[in-house]
Order: sequence, then C-alpha cells, then structure tokens
Amino acid sequence: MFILLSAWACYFTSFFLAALACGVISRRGFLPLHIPAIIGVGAYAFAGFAGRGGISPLVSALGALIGASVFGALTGLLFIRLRGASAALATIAIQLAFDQYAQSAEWTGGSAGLWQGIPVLPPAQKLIVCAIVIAICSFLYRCYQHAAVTRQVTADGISPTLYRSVSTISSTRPLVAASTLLGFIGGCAGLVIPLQMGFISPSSFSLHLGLLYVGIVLLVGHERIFAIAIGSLFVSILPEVLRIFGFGGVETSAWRSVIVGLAVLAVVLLQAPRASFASAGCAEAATK
Amino acid sequence: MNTWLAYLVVDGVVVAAGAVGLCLHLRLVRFFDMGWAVWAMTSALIGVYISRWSSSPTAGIFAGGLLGVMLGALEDGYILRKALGGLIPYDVLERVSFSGALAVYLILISITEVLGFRDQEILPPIGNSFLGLSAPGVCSVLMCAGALAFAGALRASSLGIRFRALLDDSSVCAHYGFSVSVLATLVGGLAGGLTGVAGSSFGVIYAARDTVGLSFMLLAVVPCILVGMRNSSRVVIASTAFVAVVGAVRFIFGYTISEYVVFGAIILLLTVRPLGFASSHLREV
Repeated sequence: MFILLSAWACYFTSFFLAALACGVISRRGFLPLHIPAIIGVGAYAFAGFAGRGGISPLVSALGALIGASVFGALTGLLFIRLRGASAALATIAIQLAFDQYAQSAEWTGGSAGLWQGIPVLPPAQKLIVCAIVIAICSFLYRCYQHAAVTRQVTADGISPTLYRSVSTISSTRPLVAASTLLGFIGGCAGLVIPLQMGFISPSSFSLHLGLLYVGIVLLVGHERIFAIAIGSLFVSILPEVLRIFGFGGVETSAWRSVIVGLAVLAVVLLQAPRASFASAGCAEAATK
Repeated sequence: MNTWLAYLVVDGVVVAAGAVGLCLHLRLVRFFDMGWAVWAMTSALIGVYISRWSSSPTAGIFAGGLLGVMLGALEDGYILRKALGGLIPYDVLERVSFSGALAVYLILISITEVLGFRDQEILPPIGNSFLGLSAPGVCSVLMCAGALAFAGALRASSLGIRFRALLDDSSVCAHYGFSVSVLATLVGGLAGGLTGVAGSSFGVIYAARDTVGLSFMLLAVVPCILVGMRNSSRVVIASTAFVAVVGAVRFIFGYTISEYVVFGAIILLLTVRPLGFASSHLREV
C-alpha cells in the first residue's frame, strides 16, 4: 500500500509541476506545448549525470535543474517576438524536435530509454522528495504570481504596444525570467519521473502528455495553486479510477485523455466569451 | 535518386494541396486556426480506416477528402458567421478555437489508441508499384493533383471571383449581394477538401501516427510563411521547393536531420515573420 502511495505521489507530483510550469508562461497568452521537452531535458540530464557519469544524485539533480532552467530560458528567448497561436506552433516544433532527438540519440538510449544508474529510492524517501519539490515549486510560483515580472509578462502578452508605452523595462527580461522559472519547475518534474519509474523513455515526454498538462491549465486556470493541484490530482488518478470501473490495460490512459479532452472542450465552449486561458486575471493585470 | 524523386513527387503534391487548403482557410477565418490540424488528423484516420476496410487507398483518400469538405464547410461557415456577426471578437475567437482544437486533437489521438490503431496495423497493403511509387503513393499524387487542378479551375470561374472577393474583403460580398455565409461555407468546403485529401494521403502513405496532423501542419505552414498567402501558385511552388530541400537533406544526411530541418525552418520563419502572414492580413481587412 505504501509503495503504491509513493508511486501515485510521484505521478501526481510530475503532473502538478508540469501544470504549474504551464501556468507560468500561459499568462503571456499562449499554451506551451513544449513542457514535456523541458521536463525531458531535466530527466535525461539527471539520468545522464547520475547513471552514465557516475556523479552523486544530489549534484546530478542540481546539474539537471540548471540544465532545464537554461533550456527554458533559451526557448523563452524565441518567444520575444512570438505570440498566440504562432508561439504555440513554435512550441510544437520544439517538442517534436525533442521527440525526434530523444528517439534517435545514442546517449538517451533511443526508444528503449535509459535505466542504468538511476537511483532507486525507498517509498518513504520518494514521498519526502515529492513533498520537498512541491513545496519549493509552489513557493516559487506564489512569489512569481505576486512579482512585478508576472504583470509585465501578462501585459506584454495582451498588448506589446501598450506595454511599451507604459513600461520602460524591456519585455525580454521578464520573459526570460519567467521562462527560467518554467525551466526550473519543469526540471523538478523531470527529477521526479526517473525516481517514479526507475527508467526514462521518450514516451514519458511526448506531445500527448503536453496536451494533457495544458488541458489541466485550461480546465482550472492558472491563478490558484490549489485548483491546479486538484486538477492535477484528477487527471493523474483518473486511470486508476477508470480501472476500478473496468477499463483495464493500456486503454485506461487513452480513456483518461478522451475524458480530459471532452472536459476541456466543454469548458472552452461554455467560457467562449472569456477565452479560457487569457481570462479575467490577464485583463486585470494589463490594467494595473 | 529514384527514392528522392518518388519522395519529391508524392510529398511535393501532398504538401502543396495541404498548404493551399491551409492558405484558403487562414485567409477566410483571418486568424491562425489550429482546427486545420484537426481536419488533417481526422481525415488521415478516416482515410486509413476506409482504405484498410475496402483494401483501396483511393477509397480511403476520397472518403478523407469528403470528410474534410464537411468539416471545412461546417467550421468556416460557423466561425465566419460568428465573427462577422460581431458575437465574438477575433482575438477571443483565436484563443477559443486554439483551445478547442487542442482538446479535439487530444480526443482524436486517444481514440486511435483506444481503437488499437498502430503503425504496423494501419498501413494498407502496398501492392504493385508504378515508376517507383507505391500504389498509395500513385493514388495520393492523382487525388491531390486532381484537387489542386479543381481549385485552380475554380479561380477562373464566376464562383472563384466571388471566393476571392470574400477572401479579400467580406464587405464587398455584401455590396454585390453575395451571401457571405454561403460563400464562406463553400470556401471552407474547398479548403477542407484539399486538406482532407492531403491529410488522408499523408495517413495512407505514412500511417496515421498520432502526430500526423501537427507535423503535417508544420510542413504546410512553412511555404505559407515563405511566400505569403495571396497567391496559391506561389504556395504550390514553395511547397514543392521546400519538400525538395527536405528530401535532399533526407537523402544525404538521413531522416532525423531532415526532420530537424523542418522544425528548425518553422521556428526560424516564425521568429522572422511572427504571425505576419495571418495577422497583417487581418489588419488590412
């Protein structure tokens, strides 16, 4: 029971952190579909350092977080000129390029993935790790929500012209700061995935999962951490619930996606005039 | 060399048909609509399913095209009516359509899993070949070229002139007494038909992987950004040229590198001309 609980906790943590990472940048008015790639950078860096490099897990985790943050910041630089669907399209290209790389590169283990040297933690330690990363990332997200950089990112996303007319600060700095935070939170999620499964493979960082992460933000918004946690909990435990109702095997995760997709569609259609991800919070920030 | 030529002929025509469909759709709705990827994906799935069921790639591509016509007519007719009626502003419409398209896309790729669609299972039997092309390849070239020829023939007709009036300035249609709604539905049907034929061809040739819609969209978007969306002939030429470049890279350096070229090109082009092709047109109108 304890083993099962720790596995669920890791699974929930990865979803929760991924949704938080989406929430960081979705304020700019686009949905980041490259979150799995950022998580993947963290996970592969950790597995590479700890497994192939033989470096201690703590230092490897630090290296992975730095790697994911730098990757997040670099991808953030791309979005200085991109907005809306155009930016989302670029994130799809980044994600598909990462997919291609993870499946073809030798050091990532290709489609089979990596498992050598990934530390296997006892269930209690897994729970502690999950609690620590959730606490750190929630705290950072909370600080980010109340920081001036959030308002700048949001205002720049809504109207760059208006932003330039009212602010003397270049829009690059807040965007890179937000993207670095996105990379850090994504990197934390990337640390949890190898701990949960004991191995990593490209299927753990697919575009399909990116759609699910974005789906959580579309369902519950990005304003309240508690709502994101509930949304993540719902999405992460849904396959287990479906299994109880007799949807067994591989299909449970597929049915989960169908249910999440239908829920998102319903929310989008019901909230059409408010346009879901650029909702009241954005407008409020722009007027401040 | 033959492999490269076969790739150029098949993918060149398929991507060109898809790109022209995308151009028509984007010019009509006047914002970047991801719904196009959903049309392509749905048509690919249906095309593959029908071609397996009937053992005929032609039937699959035809069914995919027909479905595309219906989806295009339904979505574009509805969206344009909503937007022109002033019920929803364009920027909100873009966000809603994007979120909706992602949700539908998520449902579609999940359904492929539920139905047990796998690459090795859905590939239709590749029978006799013609000039180095497989049977699905020949069907795809003929169907896509036919769809492009039909769209080209329409340009000279009175209906084509009305279509262009609608795409350039919808208020002109009202001035001449055209029904904007009906015209939008027809243009949407044409765009959807081209997309459907191209999408189902892509599915029949390469199997309906879960990323067919989105990766195909990236391929089709590149020519649209490169040459703009005003002239369909230029889009066709740009599509073929782009496919030729990707094919040459694939031929020399391998599949993985050619994929990076596609993804790199889209990121570079979007960064250089961000949303320019769609939003500038919107502002002009």
